[in-house]
Amino acid sequence: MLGKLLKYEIKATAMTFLVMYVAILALAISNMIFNQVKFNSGIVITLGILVFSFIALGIVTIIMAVQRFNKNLLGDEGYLMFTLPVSSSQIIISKLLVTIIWVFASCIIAFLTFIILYNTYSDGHELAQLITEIKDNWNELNTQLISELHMSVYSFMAWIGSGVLLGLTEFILMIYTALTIAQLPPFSKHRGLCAFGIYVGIDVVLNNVIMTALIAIVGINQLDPKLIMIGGCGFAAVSSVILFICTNFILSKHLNLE
Amino acid sequence: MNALLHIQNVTKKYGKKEVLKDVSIDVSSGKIVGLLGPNGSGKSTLIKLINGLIEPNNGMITIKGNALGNESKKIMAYLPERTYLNNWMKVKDILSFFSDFYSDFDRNRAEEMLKQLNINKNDKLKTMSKGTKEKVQLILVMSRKADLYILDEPIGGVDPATRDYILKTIIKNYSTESSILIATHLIQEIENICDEVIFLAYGEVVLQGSVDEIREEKGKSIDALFREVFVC
Repeated sequence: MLGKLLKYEIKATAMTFLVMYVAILALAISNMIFNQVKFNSGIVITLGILVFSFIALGIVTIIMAVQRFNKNLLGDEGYLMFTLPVSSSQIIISKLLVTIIWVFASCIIAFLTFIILYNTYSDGHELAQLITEIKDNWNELNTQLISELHMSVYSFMAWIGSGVLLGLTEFILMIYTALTIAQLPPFSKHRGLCAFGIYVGIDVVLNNVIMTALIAIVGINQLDPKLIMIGGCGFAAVSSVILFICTNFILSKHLNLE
Repeated sequence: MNALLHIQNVTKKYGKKEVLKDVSIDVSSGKIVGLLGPNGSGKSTLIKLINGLIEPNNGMITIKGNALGNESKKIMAYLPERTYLNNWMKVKDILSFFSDFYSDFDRNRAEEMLKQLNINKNDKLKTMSKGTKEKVQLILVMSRKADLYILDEPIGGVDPATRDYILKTIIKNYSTESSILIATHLIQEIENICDEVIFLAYGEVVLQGSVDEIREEKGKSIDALFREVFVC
């Protein structure tokens, strides 16, 4: 059933993202062509719109995460979604996963854009050369990381990657929790405003108050980069679980569809 | 006892307000039951409880003897008063959606009914009128081979011809294995297709029983009785 939920969630969101991806790649390629034919205003315009497009992509992703949850679950469509023979946890997971998938896809598009732009502006410093340079410095980087953090480059990248993924998960679940709490009777008359306020509240409590308290408990002198990295991942993971449990509990026991 | 739908001493409060008070209802298989009551009587709340969208403060609800959950959702078909369809979909997408999530969905039947009502599979739900969307919803629900159908105001906002079509479809779906619960204000229209009625007022059941018996006992139509009981 989760697979089916994922399928329809992707279908519901695909058009928006694919259109933006095509536009971004088209801009990057146009920029490359304009550089080759020395069409200066074209170069500037495409670069400008490209920067704006990435900002827009980030904003659209957040808006989609909010809208898909709000409209599909807390509005009229909720009467369909919550009477399907699936659990509310499956529904939450499907939306969370699809948002993460689009963020991941956006990163791939960003990477492709980088390669196109690098090729355009590298002035003879070919991509192949760049890769060779990275490989050459790899061992040096490896040695440094091992001596300072006792981990290899791969380990390090895995921890950073996990940290980013967990941080993203926590961020999305914070949105879901805020929206879910805001649909409860005391807040439901001013859902939008309350959701925003609750989001800020959760952010302050989790990422400021509790984190500061934890740092104080551990002792600021004990903090080293490795502990920050691993601790950060752990904190995001635990927060995510707590936020998920809250959202799931409210949706399964206190759903307030109008 | 294994009634299809068994509601026992159910109470639901919103804050301090008691919306449903100690409601007990039994619906057995093979019945078309009218759930009647004015606005604020607790009908919508009761329907949400039966569908598992909210939980009672007291009491219990079982479907075929089992607590509400995924298993009961598989055998229940719900038509809410509002449009609950995903607006980005085309008609054929929502057909696939229902096929995917409900193993008892009869796609051929749905497509046949759509054709009868001149609704194109490739039309986007977003561009349809409210009336057409309601027809699509009804077709989707009635194309399921469910054990319990719950229809909330199915003929409320539609024209008389569509109303007849809907009522005919409901009757066609009658089988000894399934039951249909219809919540409505339009008693005159559904009176003749119901086996039983339940009157709900101020969160309590004030009358329930077989239509024929009530008509005989009270000497009047259900519609007339309703107007008397719920006089403004």
